[in-house]
Amino acid sequence: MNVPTTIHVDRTRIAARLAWLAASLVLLAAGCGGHANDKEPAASDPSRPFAGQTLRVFNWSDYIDPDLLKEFEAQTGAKVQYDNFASDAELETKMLAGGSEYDVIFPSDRSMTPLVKKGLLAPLDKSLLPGMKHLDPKFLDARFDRGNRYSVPYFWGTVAVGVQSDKVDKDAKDFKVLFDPKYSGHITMLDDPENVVAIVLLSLNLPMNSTKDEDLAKVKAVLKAQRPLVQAYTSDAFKDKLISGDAWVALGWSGDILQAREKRASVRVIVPSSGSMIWADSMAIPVGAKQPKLAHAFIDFLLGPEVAARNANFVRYPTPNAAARAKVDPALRSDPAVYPPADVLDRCQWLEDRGADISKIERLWREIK
Amino acid sequence: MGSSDRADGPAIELREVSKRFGGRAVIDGTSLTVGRGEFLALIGPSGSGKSTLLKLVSGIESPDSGRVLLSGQDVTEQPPYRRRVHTVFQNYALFPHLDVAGNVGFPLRMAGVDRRTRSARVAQALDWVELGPFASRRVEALSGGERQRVALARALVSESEAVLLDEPLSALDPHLRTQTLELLQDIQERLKVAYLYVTHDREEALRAAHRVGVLNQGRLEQVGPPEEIYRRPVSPFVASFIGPINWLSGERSEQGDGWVELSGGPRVPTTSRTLPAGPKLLLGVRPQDLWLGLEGFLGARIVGRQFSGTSVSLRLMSELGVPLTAELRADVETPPVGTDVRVSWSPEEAHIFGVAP
Amino acid sequence: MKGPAAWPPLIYLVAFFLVPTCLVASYSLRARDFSGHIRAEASVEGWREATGSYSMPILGRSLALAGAVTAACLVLGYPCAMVLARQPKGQRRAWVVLLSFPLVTSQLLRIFGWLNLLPLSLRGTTWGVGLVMAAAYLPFMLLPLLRACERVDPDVRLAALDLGATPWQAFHRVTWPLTRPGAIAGCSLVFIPAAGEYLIPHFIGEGKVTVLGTMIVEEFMERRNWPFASAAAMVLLIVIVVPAAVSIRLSGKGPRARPGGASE
Repeated sequence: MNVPTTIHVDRTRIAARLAWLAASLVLLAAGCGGHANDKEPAASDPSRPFAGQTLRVFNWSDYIDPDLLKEFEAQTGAKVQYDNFASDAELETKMLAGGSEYDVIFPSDRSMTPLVKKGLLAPLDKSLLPGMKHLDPKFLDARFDRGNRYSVPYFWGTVAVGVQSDKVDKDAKDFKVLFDPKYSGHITMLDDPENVVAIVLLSLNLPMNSTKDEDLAKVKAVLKAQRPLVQAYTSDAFKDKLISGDAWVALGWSGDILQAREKRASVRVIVPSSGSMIWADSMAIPVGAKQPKLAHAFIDFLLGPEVAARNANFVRYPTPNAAARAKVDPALRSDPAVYPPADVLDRCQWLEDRGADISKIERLWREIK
Repeated sequence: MGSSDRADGPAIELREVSKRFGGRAVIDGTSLTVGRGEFLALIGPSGSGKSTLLKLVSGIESPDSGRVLLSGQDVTEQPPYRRRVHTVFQNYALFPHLDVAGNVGFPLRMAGVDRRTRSARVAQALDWVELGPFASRRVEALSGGERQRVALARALVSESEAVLLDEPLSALDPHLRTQTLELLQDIQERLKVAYLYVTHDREEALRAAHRVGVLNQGRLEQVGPPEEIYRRPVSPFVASFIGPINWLSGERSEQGDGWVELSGGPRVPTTSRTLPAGPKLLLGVRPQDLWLGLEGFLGARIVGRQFSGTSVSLRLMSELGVPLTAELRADVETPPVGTDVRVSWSPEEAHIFGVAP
Repeated sequence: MKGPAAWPPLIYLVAFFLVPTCLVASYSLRARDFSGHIRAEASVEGWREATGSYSMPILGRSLALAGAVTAACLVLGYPCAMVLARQPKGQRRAWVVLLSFPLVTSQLLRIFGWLNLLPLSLRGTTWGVGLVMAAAYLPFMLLPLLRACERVDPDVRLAALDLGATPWQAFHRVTWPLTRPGAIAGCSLVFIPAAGEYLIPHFIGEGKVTVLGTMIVEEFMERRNWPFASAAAMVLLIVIVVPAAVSIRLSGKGPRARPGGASE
């Protein structure tokens, strides 16, 4: 599961997700049946250019300030229909089955690669997105979408380690703590070969995206030795385990670990100063979206510094919007666990698309599990 | 199990057996003996403890006190499968997943009898109950009477000394009962097996059994040959349970032994030298023992008449205000309804019991 | 004899079983697209993986786990059903409602309950997964068993004891053959879903107990390896169709009269 996925995976959605999986197979079977083209009603009120139109948004749950949706509706006269997905696969499969049901989607960086490759995203009209100028260039021109032809960054984060400060050495400050036998039975790892392998490579001071056999052999040795220490491989339960105290050392998404810290003060967030893995979620428009103009307007609305800052205060993830950052709640803004210092951020890396080499990582993962 | 390894002693013996369920004594200090080759019928109203008594013998229930002996051996502590006595259940309790031969052969199989011996003995047992050709039938395909005979063959096949029969005829159509009862009797005589036969039907008991026991509220009131039970009941309960009877109440006459002063009516003679201690007495006469005529002990009017083929039953209202029933032979001409008659009886036929005040 | 065409079941069968199954079968025979979905060209790589050295031990583990869970449910359920069958009718009905209660509560809710109940040492272990599965599937065993036990005349067992059967023989020769159809129904109701179980191994197994169900979901959802996931799903289907067909045949026969002599 990719990074953002798990941040939003609500356990109770798993069942719905499976039901959806079955249904989507049937949908795929039916093929991309023609959708009725509902005509856009003519805009009669120039101040409310989109009156009568419906904007269909497909996003992770609880990943937007709902007040902003109301505000957008009031400004444009359009109606927003907001649907949730719970995993990369859910979004990708829906897009494959005919994405024109939605006007704006919020794919993770990992989903972006297949969506772009399969030509499922519509090129953005930059003239309709003046707000892009507020974005921090660090988050532009990502490897999954050179030149931001299809996407605009929405939020980002890192992979971090959450530790119980009363159980774990004060001077633990990097990924090495994950492999310390002292914490045997109280370590949780993400259940995800790509991310875990990347983290182990980082902890070994090897290139994070390496697929060299000798590098992977070292990773395998480390993970094999760690296996008996691990309480759980989980991409969703580690937050609860940190809150309950079952986990002393948990590898997870920075946002989840921060949420755990809000519930349990003894939780400490480690973002290694040597750098970590960084991820981002984007906004994009599927090919065949029925309201492309309205979709652009919505994206641009969310790029506004005022709006972006309010949104960041609500979802508590770091925003890639440089102009908005100054307006973010100071407590949040000054927290190095949320916004790592610039030098640390410089050392953070993106996960690359490994293509067919992913098989090597998958094989390694099967062997250690 | 041949007869050589049988111990001596009666087929079944209960000694002072008691059984309570939830504080209520269902069997209350009962002793009973069923001799070898004897057909003993136990009768009693429902709830009198008949079925429990059978379960105590078969071992499905164990007594709270007292001993149970089979062929002279104390089996009180033995589980049912160690007791060499088998039951014919009221609803037959055949094994629906086995065919007729499988059902009948079951006890032999449990006893470890080899297959060849088993099939020979199963065939023999089926012959006893006249079901020879039915060996491979499914039990579900059998009629009620046939099932009953399979159950009987199953209880007989291991040739144990005693068979327990729990109301074996009650689930049968009335027209089959006489015939089946005769079959039961024939087999009993032929195999010399002891029957402990429980029924609530006094006619079955009287007709077929060597001895009859009457059970009332967990106590055995009387045991004896059918004639004795019928003619010399030891209690009003036995007298009325064993057959219809007219009851008249009275007192010992002050004028001497042998006379009873009926309440509000005449004195009647009896044959008893010593009447039971009173003060109240109950005098019972069976309907067929009443005589009607111009002379008699009591005046009565005929108020109703029923014809049943072999007999005529007359309903009478006596001068004492007590209704009476008289049963007369059908070939005797009877007076019409409304006629006033005198009622009498032979003193030997009157059953007299003392009643505590 | 020809009846009217059974359209509704036929439509369900085609729409909800045949079409998805054929789709999955066709995915399983295509090449993997590393960015998700499948490529147009045919490939048996999915089947090779699904019957290879990684999948086979997982299949074995899934079947062994399902078998153990089924056996545990049978052993726990049988005495329970026999005792309940002898309760008075009103009480029995109350018990049935209480025992069915888990079936009307969300399975996820129950799993999270177990997550709180289970000691840490059992979580993430096959034993823990098996325990929670047995608890979850017990009603599926109990209800058909109870139905079967209710239909057995209680006197029949007493008759067996009376005719010389020890309690074990009475069970083996009488009670068991008469309740076997219920037991078979219960076993297939437990075994078949247990072999493909996903939720319990996922949550209780804490990523350390990989069974076929979790493997398929993981390969499909996380690795985007559709051909492998589809082939593995087909393997599961085949492995499950066989016992299902057998159990239908067995229970269809019902308790039949058997020849007394030849039944040893």
